[in-house]
Formats: sequence, structure tokens, C-alpha cells
Amino acid sequence: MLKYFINIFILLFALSSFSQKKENDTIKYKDRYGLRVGIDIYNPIYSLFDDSRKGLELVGDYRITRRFYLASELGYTENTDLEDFFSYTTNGQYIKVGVDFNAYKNWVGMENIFQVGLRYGFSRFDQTLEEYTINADPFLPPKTVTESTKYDNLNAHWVSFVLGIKVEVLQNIFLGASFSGNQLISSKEPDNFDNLFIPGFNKVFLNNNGYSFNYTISYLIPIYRK
Amino acid sequence: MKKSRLHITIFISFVFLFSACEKDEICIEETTPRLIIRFFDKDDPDELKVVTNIRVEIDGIDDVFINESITVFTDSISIPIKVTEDLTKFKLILNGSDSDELNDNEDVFDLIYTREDVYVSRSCGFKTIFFDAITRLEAESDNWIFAIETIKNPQDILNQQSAHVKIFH
Repeated sequence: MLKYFINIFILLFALSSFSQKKENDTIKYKDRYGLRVGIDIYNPIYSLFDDSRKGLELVGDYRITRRFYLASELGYTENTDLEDFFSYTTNGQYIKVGVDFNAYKNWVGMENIFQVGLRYGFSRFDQTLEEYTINADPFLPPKTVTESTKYDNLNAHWVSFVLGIKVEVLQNIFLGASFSGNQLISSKEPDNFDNLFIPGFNKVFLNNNGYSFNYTISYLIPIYRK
Repeated sequence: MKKSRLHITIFISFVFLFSACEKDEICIEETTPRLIIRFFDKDDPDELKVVTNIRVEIDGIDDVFINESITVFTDSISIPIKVTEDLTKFKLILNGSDSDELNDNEDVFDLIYTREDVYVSRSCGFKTIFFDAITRLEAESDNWIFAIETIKNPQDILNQQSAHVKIFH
């Protein structure tokens, strides 16, 4: 009998605290709206250890509704790739613009983001074929051409599907990681070579897709509350 | 909280899914074509005729060139062309692959051409293709080759889908 009494007591206590919480909830919390700007830290750190890649990316988003953000990334990349039979360097700038949807339901006062986004990307770049060795029968002496060839004024358009997270670690400071799957729409290709790497898109695979990712630190500049 | 964990799991598995297919590493396209020679009967020019115990050498290379086209199907052979020069000197030795050295008969012919390097793909790199190829047989007292000619005139060697040179013997 005592057991039931205790149970009922606990239940009543829980109910009373529940109703109390509900009262608190009637205070309407206003979300912060603002501009978040940041940089990608992957490439700067990567280039400390490996010369083959240099680059910088600025990221920004602007909150337009409770769950939607306008988002953009812009940057430059210089990347050298060594393939089995040749090596090449790509050098250029890019911009991506699009929207992010925040799929994460935050607790009151929290502003973390699980982003699901779409982007349109554009890049202008040059490619330099550094050297190549003819893929021929190894029975005969090989031919290696070390004279580099530069292909100027190339460009590419693509779309990306973005998944990522942004977590507020300190007041207004966010750490983020995002992955994007890219599909090339069109590109201006060099004669007798190919756009195997595009700044902002990264490596272009056989069926014209690819993926890229970034790790960001960003700062939220709050503008208003709604 | 549970939901966010699910999201993160999806996110991470996405990353791995895409990194798994990172390189299209295997070269499956055709690269630098070899010279394809077919052997015909000099008395009946439409009939293929096998060359007995043929041995193939290329001038400037110490080794004997061997592949299954030479050891198995001896009425049609494929041999590499020099990508470093505009001329390759081939030595075809009748009865050269048997142990008897006395019956060897070496005939030499030149293949003269122009070259172009063509991009293929990431994994295959560049290949060389050959244009305006002509053949020139070195005449000697005991040629076993009766005549040599390119199938077309001039002959471009762009792929290995058909023969490039006919030898009558």
C-alpha cells in the first residue's frame, strides 16, 4: 500500500512540475536573426603539411525565416594532382550561392544547425599540364614530356547538395562541418585535356560528379530578433 | 537528441559512401595502338598464311618481343610502335623461335609515320596515334617476305580494331 502511495506522490509531483514548466513556456522566446561569416580551416591547415594544395574559402549565411538561410561560399584553390601518367595544376576562383534549411529542432535558446542545402556553383580557372608520359607498351623506350602546357580561361557550372552541421561553441561562435555532393552542369574544356579538378568542386569523376567538404569557424553578427 | 544522432550518422555514412569511390583508377580505354600485321599467301593473296616459328625484334631493343598474337595466332600479329621516333625498324625472323639457328631468315622493314599525343582519360593518361604510315622492306638476296603493303594509303594507325599492314609470303 505504501508503495502505491509513494508512486502517486511522485506522479503528482511530476505533474505539478510539468504544469509549472508550461507556465514558463508562455514567455515567448525570440530567435536571433543575423549574418554569419566564417572561413574554412581545412585548406589552410592542409597546406601546412602538403604543398600540393593551397586555398582559402569564406563562408556566409543570412537567416531569412525561422528555418531558411541564404548561404554562400567563395574562395580560391591551387591544386596539384599526380596521376599515374601525368601531373597537372589547377588554379582558380569560385563562388557558390544557395539556400540552407535547418532540419534540427533546437531547444529554446539554442541555435545549432543541421543544414540541408542546395547550391549553384561557378568557377573560373586555369589548368597546367605539368608533364606526361605516353601510355604505351613498356617494351619500347618511354616518352615523357616535361614541357608544361597551360590552358587559360576555363570555367564550370555545377549544382551541389549540401549536408552539414553548425554548432555554437561559444557565444556567437560556430564550428561547422559540411559535405557537398556536386554534379557538373557544363564546363569549358581544354583541347586535348580534361577538367579533372575544378576549384570549389574538387575532383571531377567519370560521370561528371564529385564531392567536396569544409570545416568552418564562423561568427554570427546578430541583427534583429523575431 | 536521438534524432540528431541519427542525422549525424547519416551525414558520416554519406561522407564514407562518397570517399569509397574516390578514384577512377582502372584504365579501360584503348591506349597507344600497336601495329597489326596480317600474313597472306603470296600465291593466293586472299588466303591467310601462317608464318612458322616467327620471332619479332625491334631495332635498338635487345629483347625479343613476345605476346600471344605471336606465339598462338601467327597469321596476325600485333607489335608496338616507337613513340619516341618517327621510324620503327622491325625484324621478322622466319623460323627464329625454334632451336635451329641455321634455318633462321631475318627480314627487316621500316615503318615511317608522324605522331600525335592524344589525351585519353585520368587513369589512362595520354596515348600516341600515328598518321600517314608507310612501310619499306629492306631488299636482300633471300627475302622470305614477298611484298609488304599498308591496307590504306596513307595508313593512319589510330586503334587496334583492324589490321594496318599486309605481308605476302
